Amino acid sequence: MKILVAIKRVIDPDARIRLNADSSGVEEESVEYKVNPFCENAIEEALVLQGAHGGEVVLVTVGPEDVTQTIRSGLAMGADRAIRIEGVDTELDSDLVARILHKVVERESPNVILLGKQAVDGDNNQVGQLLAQYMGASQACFASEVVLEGEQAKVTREVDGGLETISIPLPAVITADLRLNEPRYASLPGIMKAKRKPIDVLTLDELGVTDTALKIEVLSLELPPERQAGSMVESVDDLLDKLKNEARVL
Amino acid sequence: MSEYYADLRDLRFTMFDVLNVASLAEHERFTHADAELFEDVLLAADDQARELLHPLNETGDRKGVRLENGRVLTPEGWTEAYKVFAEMGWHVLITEPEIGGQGLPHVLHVAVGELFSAGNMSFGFTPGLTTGVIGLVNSFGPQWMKDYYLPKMVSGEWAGTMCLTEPAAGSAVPDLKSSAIPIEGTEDAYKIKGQKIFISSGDHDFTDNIIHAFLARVEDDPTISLFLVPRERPEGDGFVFNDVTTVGIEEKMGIHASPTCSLSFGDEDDCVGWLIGERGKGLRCMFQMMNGARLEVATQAYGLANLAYQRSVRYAKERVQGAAVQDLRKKDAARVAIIEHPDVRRMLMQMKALSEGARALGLYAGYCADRVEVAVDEKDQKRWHHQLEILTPIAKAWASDEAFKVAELGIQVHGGYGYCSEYGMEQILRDTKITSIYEGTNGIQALDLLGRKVARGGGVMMMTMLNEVNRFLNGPLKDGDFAPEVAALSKARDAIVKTAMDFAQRSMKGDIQYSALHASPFLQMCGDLLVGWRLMEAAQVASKRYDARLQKIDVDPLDEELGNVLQDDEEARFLHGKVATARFFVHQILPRVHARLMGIESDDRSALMVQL
Ligand SMILES: Cc1cc2nc3c(=O)[nH]c(=O)nc-3n(C[C@H](O)[C@H](O)[C@H](O)COP(=O)(O)OP(=O)(O)OC[C@H]3O[C@@H](n4cnc5c(N)ncnc54)[C@H](O)[C@@H]3O)c2cc1C
Repeated sequence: MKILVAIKRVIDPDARIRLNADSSGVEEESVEYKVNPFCENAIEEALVLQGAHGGEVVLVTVGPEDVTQTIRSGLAMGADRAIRIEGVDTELDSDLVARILHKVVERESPNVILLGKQAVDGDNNQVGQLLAQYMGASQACFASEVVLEGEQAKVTREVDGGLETISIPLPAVITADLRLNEPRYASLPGIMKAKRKPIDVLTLDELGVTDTALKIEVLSLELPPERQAGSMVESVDDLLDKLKNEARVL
Repeated sequence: MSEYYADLRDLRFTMFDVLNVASLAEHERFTHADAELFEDVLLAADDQARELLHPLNETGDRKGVRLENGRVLTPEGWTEAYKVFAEMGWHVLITEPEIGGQGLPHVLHVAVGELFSAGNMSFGFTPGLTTGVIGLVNSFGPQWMKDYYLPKMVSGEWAGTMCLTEPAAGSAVPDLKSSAIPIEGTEDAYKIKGQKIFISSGDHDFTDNIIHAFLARVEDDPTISLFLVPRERPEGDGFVFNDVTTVGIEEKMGIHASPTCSLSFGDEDDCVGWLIGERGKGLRCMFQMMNGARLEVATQAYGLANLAYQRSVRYAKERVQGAAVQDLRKKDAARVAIIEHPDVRRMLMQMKALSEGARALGLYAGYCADRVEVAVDEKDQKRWHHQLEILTPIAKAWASDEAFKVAELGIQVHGGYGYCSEYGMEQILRDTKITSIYEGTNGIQALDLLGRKVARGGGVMMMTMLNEVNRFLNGPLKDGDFAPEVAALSKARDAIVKTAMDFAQRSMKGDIQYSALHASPFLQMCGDLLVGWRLMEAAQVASKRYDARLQKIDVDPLDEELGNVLQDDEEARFLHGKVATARFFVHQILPRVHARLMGIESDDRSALMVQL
């Protein structure tokens, strides 16, 4: 069983985000990165499946040299090795990432490809679906339970208002929802071992991705409006009145 | 409502840019500990402190531990968290790789200790004590003991404690009455009897077995010996209860989730212990654990102090109250956040300077411990070991005394809301207080500094320490921008040298009492000097980086809008803050050295003469 897990780093979701001078992007200097939370669920699931079925867990991400820190934290959780595709985070869109991953899948021939259902920075929720399309493989997105049975994966999906359980043939693309599992912490021995695990670096050329044109152009970014100062109300009646007439939420 | 915050930026700056800890990796002993690993471990510790430990902090404080049917029960969720924490291997971060530890540098242990304390101080006791007992067994225990006990403690399945204190033996440890009688036909087994009180993690539901490092006297020995006394002792294929009963737990001011136990050993005459190290050398062995623990107490203290500062500075930016003092006479003057009020800024800067100062000293002490281990020759080893010896009591006592004041200021900045529980500020105050009391009260630390450290060997340890300070004071900084600060530090150093000489002369004349009366102020003076020195070292690095930073973002340092630039540019703000903090410390806090000197020079003996 070979499991490929595509991961992405995001700016620490708890940090204050600032925009760059011309509002074309997010200021990236001296920000802290974390593994996208949904990707952590994907790594955890891969490790659980590996525990049950054996095999290898391979991480893949697209990014510049300093994403190695993010990769190491995944290796520290227990993944066996990693592939970093040389690239610039901000010069990517979901489609290009999916096409890059497709090439990686062709090289690695994994049985299962796990991804987070979306990244908490762009909130696009597209890469898994696009990748399955490019591969011509089955997909099960928003997974909250994954069971492998022979050449099939039985996946429970979180759909609007309930759960759906489907069975799909392998190789397949599965994207993780938060309730899939509780990601483990990397142990200290894990952190130390991670430094010795191989990280292959490939350029887009080496991978054979020639068309790097983006299908999406970001025109501008805006911060949410600053929170307005609150005010104290005199009585419950005042509060109700404000909720009805000012906030119009009642 | 109470939040966890850590200052990773300052931790990184102090470790990497000021101490250059990455260079430790050049030594065989720490080749695996490069900057990358430091960073990974730091981030992992921060995650754990925030996600695993801090959510348990408030309920731990409210619910506390309880004693039911003779066993201590910890609050809900604590045992599960302990298991995760132990599996992570945090308690064996500095433990030798040969026995399954990570063999990482002390300075990193100090760094993560601060984060765990900020996350949840009570939680740290059991892992911390286990680290210490592992060290004792590994350094002094016989081979069979290492083979049998170390794997279980290293894995975290069994936990440790240190059992010194007895009702009549608190500060005066040698007055203890616990006894050990050799069991005939065995080489190192003894029948143990005694009452121990105030034993942290003496009983809990984290682990199946608890391993006590126990001080007692063998028969009529004048000297004290150290024993390993398990709660459950191995017998045949299994375990039998080793006659260690939990008599009670203390109700106390803070650290409510850390069980402080009274334990009774050998009530039924069926408690067995095994000698660790040589008979009669117990105190000397125990000092290994205590020295480590004293540094840990410093990290506990400034971990909480820094948390108090982090919360306070955020609160002060949000809490709107009154108009700016320069606008008071204006009609319709805008209401401002309290951080605009100079008096609030004074409090915040006190908090920042004291907690960052304690951190700088704590990390430096940890770094000294590492340099001892990688020393290239005897001279080099002495250089670092002497410093560590001097720094241990100072870091412990200075950090814990000042941390309590920082906690108090934290409440003050929050006003009435600080006195109430909502923001968690009063818990910080209650939790911090113990750090000046246990592991040897700060009074005992002061006597240790004066009697054991300064006076020994003609003052060679103190001279080594001051040499390091002098190297800085005589360096390039004394003529530049920082000349006033360097001059102030030099004057403080002179005051300390003068005091030390004065004490030496008095003791030659047989006047011990007067020096003992002033031992604590002397320790505080030394702490002020050393902290000032560490902060100025940091300022020296920061100021160069700051200039480079302004150049990079194309800002004139005299720009009228500099304030706005600093608001927007985190890097420039941090570096500017480091310089400001050092200056503030040197000009607003360090001068108290001279007030203390005046007190000491006065020859006033009223505290000794008075009938109270
Ligand atoms: C929460 C908590 C946890 C603890 N955990 C442990 C533990 O795990 N293991 C353990 O063994 N102990 C533990 N202790 C005990 C702790 O170390 C002692 O309380 C401490 O050493 C002081 O002893 P004492 O309380 O008897 O005070 P005393 O020794 O009675 O001291 C009272 C005051 O007199 C001063 N004083 C005493 N003797 C001298 C002297 N010779 N010169 C100058 N001043 C002096 C002290 O500085 C202090 O101000 C713990 C205590 C507490 C409260």
